[in-house]
Amino acid sequence: MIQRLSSVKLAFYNLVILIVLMGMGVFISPVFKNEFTLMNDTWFFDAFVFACKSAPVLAVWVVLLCACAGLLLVNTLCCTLTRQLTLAKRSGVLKNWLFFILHCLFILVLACHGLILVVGEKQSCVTMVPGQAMDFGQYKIKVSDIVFTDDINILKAPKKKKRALMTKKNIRIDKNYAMITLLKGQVPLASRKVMMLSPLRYKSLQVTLIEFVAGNENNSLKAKLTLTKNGLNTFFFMVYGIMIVTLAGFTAVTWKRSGIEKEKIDE
Amino acid sequence: MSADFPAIVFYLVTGMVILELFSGGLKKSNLAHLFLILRTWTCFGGVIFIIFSLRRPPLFGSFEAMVYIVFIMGVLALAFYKNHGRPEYFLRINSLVVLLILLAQAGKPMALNEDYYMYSNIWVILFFNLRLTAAAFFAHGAAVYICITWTGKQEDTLAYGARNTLLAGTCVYLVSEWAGSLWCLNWFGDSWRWSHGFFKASILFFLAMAVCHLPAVIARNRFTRGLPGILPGIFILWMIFFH
Repeated sequence: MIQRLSSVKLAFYNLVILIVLMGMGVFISPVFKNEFTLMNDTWFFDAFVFACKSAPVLAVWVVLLCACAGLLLVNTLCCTLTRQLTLAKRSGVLKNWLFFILHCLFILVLACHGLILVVGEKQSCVTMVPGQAMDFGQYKIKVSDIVFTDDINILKAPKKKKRALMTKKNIRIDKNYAMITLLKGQVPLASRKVMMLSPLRYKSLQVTLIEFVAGNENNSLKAKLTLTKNGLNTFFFMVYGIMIVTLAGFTAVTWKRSGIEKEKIDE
Repeated sequence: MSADFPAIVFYLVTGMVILELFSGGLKKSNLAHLFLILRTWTCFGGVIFIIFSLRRPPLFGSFEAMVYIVFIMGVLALAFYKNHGRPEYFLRINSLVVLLILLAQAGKPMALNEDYYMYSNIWVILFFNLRLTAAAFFAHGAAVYICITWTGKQEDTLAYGARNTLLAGTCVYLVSEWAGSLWCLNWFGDSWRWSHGFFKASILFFLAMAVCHLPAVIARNRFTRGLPGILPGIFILWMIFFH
């Protein structure tokens, strides 16, 4: 059983199925736009329950995708612990150890990809005005000011036109911000200007400015924020980075074919 | 002058690639090699033009993609063509792949695009630029894999070179994706999101993985061994130029 689960054949055919499922995802994502938005903006299981009722096809696709990703994880785990570890131990060669470590790190990256979906807390697309505060778990987030120095009419334009107008010349990313304070009870923990692509981070909590929204009244402004608390992010990026470095190391070490391999091929 | 420069670069490069193919067909390898050097330098001129005009490396838009990918492919071909079995075969196929990339650009605007306001962020720059670099590696790899399926000469030398290019391309691609995940985290608060962009990015990674995990029954045959290796190159070029 373990031998079958650790086989390269299983890995290959499972990858082919994953490619097909991802390919289906490319084509169904415009069809189930609302469901995908919900899956991104709310806790995964809530969105999944909703998808089961409103779009069963999507629910089946998600289950198949998760099952194949799970099988890939089990397959890699079995192969790594049985074949690759034995090979690395027996040979003691650097390239085999790198190969083993690379697969271990891939398992972690894959697991983190899945776990990020289901752990932590999230509140998406919260629109706040200056002076407003809201609770998020044990914390309180307060917006004290919103500054937008560029042309506010760009924010009022229809979606497609807005995308075309939001050029580097028209929108200066570092001049527009929301002043945000993070509190625990009445104690301020962190306070800073939150700009686009520059969120406020405190331990595993992140306050992200998604966009500025122009209000109906005279040039009034709102900030659309997403609040997340996910302890896995730092670990995920670190492991992902180390995996890439290991892959680069493995590629470099095995760049030139060894004499033994050449002989084998010649035979 | 500067408005016409992209079109001049495009036509010059196209001309040189056609001459490369002709010289290769007439078995004048040295001449083909000379045109390869010239087209690489011309593309380098195009890349410098983009950097000076926009004050950033090539990132997006079909013209920028075309110039940069062909430039990196030229550098890769010059650096590694001797490793790829019989160089004259490889150079001919490489020129053919470049010609197909140029055809993908034909009819599209020969101009630089105005940047979206986020494109000055370092993670965004890394994401887009390294994706183009990875595309060049995968396209170069595709040329080597075509050599495997087509010529069948010095198959193992070719296969090892192709494997190296694929692994190096995957490294570059993963750095791009890593930077893209950071961009996503800073923009939406998530390291990844359910989107067609994510699905396409995953397909490419799985394609590269599949090539590295070919079962013995597939790897034994020259055609079935070579064909999967062509797919990452085709897919990333389709992603960049058509989708």
